[in-house]
Amino acid sequence: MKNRLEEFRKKAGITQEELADKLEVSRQTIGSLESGRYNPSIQLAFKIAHFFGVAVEELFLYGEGNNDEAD
Amino acid sequence: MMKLIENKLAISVLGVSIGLAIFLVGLILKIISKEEDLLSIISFCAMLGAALIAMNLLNLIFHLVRRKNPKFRHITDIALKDERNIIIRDKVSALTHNIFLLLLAVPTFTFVALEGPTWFSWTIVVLVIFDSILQVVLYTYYDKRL
Repeated sequence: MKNRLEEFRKKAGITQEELADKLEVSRQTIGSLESGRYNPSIQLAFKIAHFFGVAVEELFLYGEGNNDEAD
Repeated sequence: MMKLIENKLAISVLGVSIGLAIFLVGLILKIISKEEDLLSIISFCAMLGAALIAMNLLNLIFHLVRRKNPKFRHITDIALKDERNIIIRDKVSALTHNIFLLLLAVPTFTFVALEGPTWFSWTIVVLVIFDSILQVVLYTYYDKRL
């Protein structure tokens, strides 16, 4: 699943650490989300979308065959 | 949150105390006993006691630092609750469990092949069967709950 997290974060002018702190997750989680290595839970996806004031589907782009999360 | 930390502190103190008691039992047995038969019990007490002391002492230090330092508490709270960390921990623990089972098979089959003590091999076999039963029971439990 692709996402536009990095784009939204940079638009908001905050660092990965600041976003991680606001969302109460680790900085590594934000890094993994941005690089597409990790797909968030529905709860975290909604939390991120709520933080940026956008719909989940604006932030996370579902597509068949692009789930490259490590097994 | 503070109550939870206090509980964990109490559990750690209890763990250290139990470990110390077991270690002391082993030490007293070693001092007063002259029987060779008790050697395995003394070793068992010493190992179990030392392991309990070490494990719970580390936990105790960790929880004391958490109580004294709010910033450290915040960082560890995030690290413990972070969903990616939880997934990583679950994967690591499942993989470690499988590797551990494979490693247990090596001394078990070696002992059988070399006609070593049968109690060791049978203990491992019983533990592996218990492990499999526990997995089925827990799977059924969570299958109904989730």
